[in-house]
Amino acid sequence: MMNYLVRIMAMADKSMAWLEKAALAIGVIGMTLVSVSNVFMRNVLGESLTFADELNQALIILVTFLGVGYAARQGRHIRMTALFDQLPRLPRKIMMIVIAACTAALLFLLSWYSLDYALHTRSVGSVTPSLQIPLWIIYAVAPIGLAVGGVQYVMTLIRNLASHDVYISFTHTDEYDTSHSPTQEI
Amino acid sequence: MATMMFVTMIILLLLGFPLMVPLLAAALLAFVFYIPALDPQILVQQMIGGVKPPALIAVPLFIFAADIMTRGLTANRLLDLVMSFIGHVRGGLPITTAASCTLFGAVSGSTQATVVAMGSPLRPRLLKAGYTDSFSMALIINSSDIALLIPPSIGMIVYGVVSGTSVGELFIAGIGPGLLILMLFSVYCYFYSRIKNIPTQERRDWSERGRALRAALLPMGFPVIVVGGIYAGTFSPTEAAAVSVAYAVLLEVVIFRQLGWKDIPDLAVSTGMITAVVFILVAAGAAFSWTLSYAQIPSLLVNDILNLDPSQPTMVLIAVCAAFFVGCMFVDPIVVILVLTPIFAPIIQAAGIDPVLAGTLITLQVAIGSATPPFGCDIFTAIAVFKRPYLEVIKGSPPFFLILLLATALLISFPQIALFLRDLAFR
Repeated sequence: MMNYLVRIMAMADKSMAWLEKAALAIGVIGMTLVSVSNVFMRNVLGESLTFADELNQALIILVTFLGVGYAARQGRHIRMTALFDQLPRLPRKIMMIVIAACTAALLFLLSWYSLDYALHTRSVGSVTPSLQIPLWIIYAVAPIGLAVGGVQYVMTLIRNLASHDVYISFTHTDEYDTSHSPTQEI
Repeated sequence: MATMMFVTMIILLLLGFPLMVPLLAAALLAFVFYIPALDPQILVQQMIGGVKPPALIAVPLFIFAADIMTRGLTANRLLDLVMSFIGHVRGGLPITTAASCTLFGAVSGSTQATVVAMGSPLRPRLLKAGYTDSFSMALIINSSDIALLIPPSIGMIVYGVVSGTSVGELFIAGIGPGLLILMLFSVYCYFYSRIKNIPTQERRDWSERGRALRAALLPMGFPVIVVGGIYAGTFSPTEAAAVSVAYAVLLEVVIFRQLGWKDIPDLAVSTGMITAVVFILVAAGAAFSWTLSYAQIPSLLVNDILNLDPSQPTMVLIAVCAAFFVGCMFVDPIVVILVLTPIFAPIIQAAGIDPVLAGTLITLQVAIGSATPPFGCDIFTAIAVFKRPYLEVIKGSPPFFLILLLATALLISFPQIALFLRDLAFR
């Protein structure tokens, strides 16, 4: 039963991961293009792009909040694991379940608050100064991202309940992974 | 309320929760128990507000540039350049290590990226030359501290944004102390290898040096863009970051052809994830700090508990240094800067301390703290990369630690080490 659940979730998770990756790539490449064009405009043509800052702000909000779920899936959120790592398997597993449950609860709660905030912004009707994009569309990324992050931690919890090893995320077990590239180790 | 917030934060932290949880949970509990009249929406508003300052865009851009370069040839070419010129002197290999970390610091903005990028190729060479593993690892970890002082520096960007200090001035002010530490480390390495009588490396001839120099010529463009551009006033730090990315792509994709265009989206995803990991902390830190200052805890803490007297700037600086240093022994530097800067900013201002000097010192302290036991985060990066036990990784640290403390004392006594270049460029 538990295993079926995990398998179905794994499938849904893959498409979700793809969407998040696309959002991160668009965010980072977008920021680069906007910033590089802005440098060019200011230094060569002598006139800054008026919308550079607000577009960059929208993109950084996109990357920050949609990245929460992606980083959670990869088990890459920064944690202070010095004590955690000293525990034997079973207490570590129990602790991981508690951590996943609490983190998920907190993220859902914040997602709810940020939904409130986005709706509030919508009712006020504020827009960005130069492109006139309604702010609530940008802020709506926060509830979505935080909720996706919450879902990731629920999935981590289920994975831990369903399997033997200690999982720090839905797909990653608790061990040092050295295959990734250097700068990912921020 | 302050006690409750800090106790909640520390307990959740020690239990191994993702760092955003201790910050947000503490802030949320404060809202529930102490300021129930306020709408918790404010937390979200502060979180979004925290990541919005335009100057912060420099962070993902510098990470992106460094990501492209470490995947390409830049890092190795810089290493070869330093090696070919100073590899043969006594202590040449460890001095090369320190110098390469410094040079790589001019390309990347974080200590941990430097540990990985420079440590992986250099540790085997150090071991082969006869240096002990604990010396080599301590050297790599502590030399990477220099990367945080040499522009670009993610720590300085965050400090600058939170405290309202010019990031450009901070960048320029970091160069002096960075080079000072490199010099002190080199002196230590010289005497270390002299006392341990470790054989020197073969001297390279000038044709080899010429080749290394030519190969490193284009990668050397990064310091020129970042330091030169900001120094000359051509670029703001954010613009320098944007140009760095463009230059990194030009170098690695168009000229060296080490990467293809199809690699760029993958790199963007990895950069995006690191950015998100850092920025969700920036967001959570902003919410946490806002809650603290709403309850006027910073002034309470600084005036009544620590009893700091603004008429004694040196004492204030020492207290500030101690706080940031101890903080980073336990938590990620970004979080420490986010939480402590708003607490200490008023007293720094009241004492009439140059905010750029304070920022440089704070950056140095967070760098030292992250290489210091028990929980400095560079140590854990090194454990993960080098796969050595904790005790072995930290065993060689004390001499470096003392040198860094000496550098701190020098910087407090002679602020011109940091401010000279800044004054030259901006005043």
